[in-house]
Amino acid sequence: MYGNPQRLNHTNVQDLRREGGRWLKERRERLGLSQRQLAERVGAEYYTFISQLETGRGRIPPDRYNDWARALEMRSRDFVRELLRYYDPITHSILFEQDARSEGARRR
Amino acid sequence: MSAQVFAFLRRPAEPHDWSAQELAEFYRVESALIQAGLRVVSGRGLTDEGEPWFVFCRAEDDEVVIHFARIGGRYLISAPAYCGTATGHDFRALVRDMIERHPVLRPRPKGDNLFFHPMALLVVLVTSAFLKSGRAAGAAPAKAATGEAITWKHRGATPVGGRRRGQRQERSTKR
Repeated sequence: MYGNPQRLNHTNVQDLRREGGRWLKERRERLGLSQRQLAERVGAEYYTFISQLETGRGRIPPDRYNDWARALEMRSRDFVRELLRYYDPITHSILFEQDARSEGARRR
Repeated sequence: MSAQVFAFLRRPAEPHDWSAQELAEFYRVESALIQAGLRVVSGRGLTDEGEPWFVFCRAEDDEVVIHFARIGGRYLISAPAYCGTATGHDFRALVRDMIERHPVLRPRPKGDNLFFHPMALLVVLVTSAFLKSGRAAGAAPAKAATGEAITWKHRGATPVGGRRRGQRQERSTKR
């Protein structure tokens, strides 16, 4: 399992995972894929896993990020960047939000 | 005529949610684990084809430790800790088989004729997946880590068939 213990309470983790699941579902539906088709694209052993993720339970293993990005027709870095928002908000904030804030301040 | 009947019999079952009995078993397992001191939560849902799944997760980080599903009428059990997926038409046989294939879950002395209630087997399977999944052991209180009181004695989880008179059920749960 891919542990990533953050100091978030269980409700926060669940809320973020649910939000991430909704985002994955939206991407899949935008491409007109069924959960079974997406499972085939990402090489998931069973397609109920897709439904599980879209409900906000569990997470995509990091070693599958590239497969998922291809399946959802995204650049890997864009896919991971968005996923980090839900799976690892602290890292996401440090890498992207703080950068964006300082960039904005510099421009002003 | 007989060919038509055969075709009818082989028609795959329409997808449907878990039965009330199946759900009751899952929730009894969850309750047993919580009473044993494990921090576990469950989740369930239906796919876009209407097929059901059920997962047990570690409460502290929401990581899934075991996934149950029914796909095309076949049951599926998958747990990262067991590095594999098992499928079959008979859920109880599947649980039993998974435990047999992973003897670390339940040491079986030679000549042992101790049998478990199916619900108890499901508790063993999920508990083991939970404990094998990593940090659970640290998160759980000592009684869960030592395998003590995994609730064989309550929730109707009594062994059936082959149990020797007066034999305590906990016997096979202790290492």
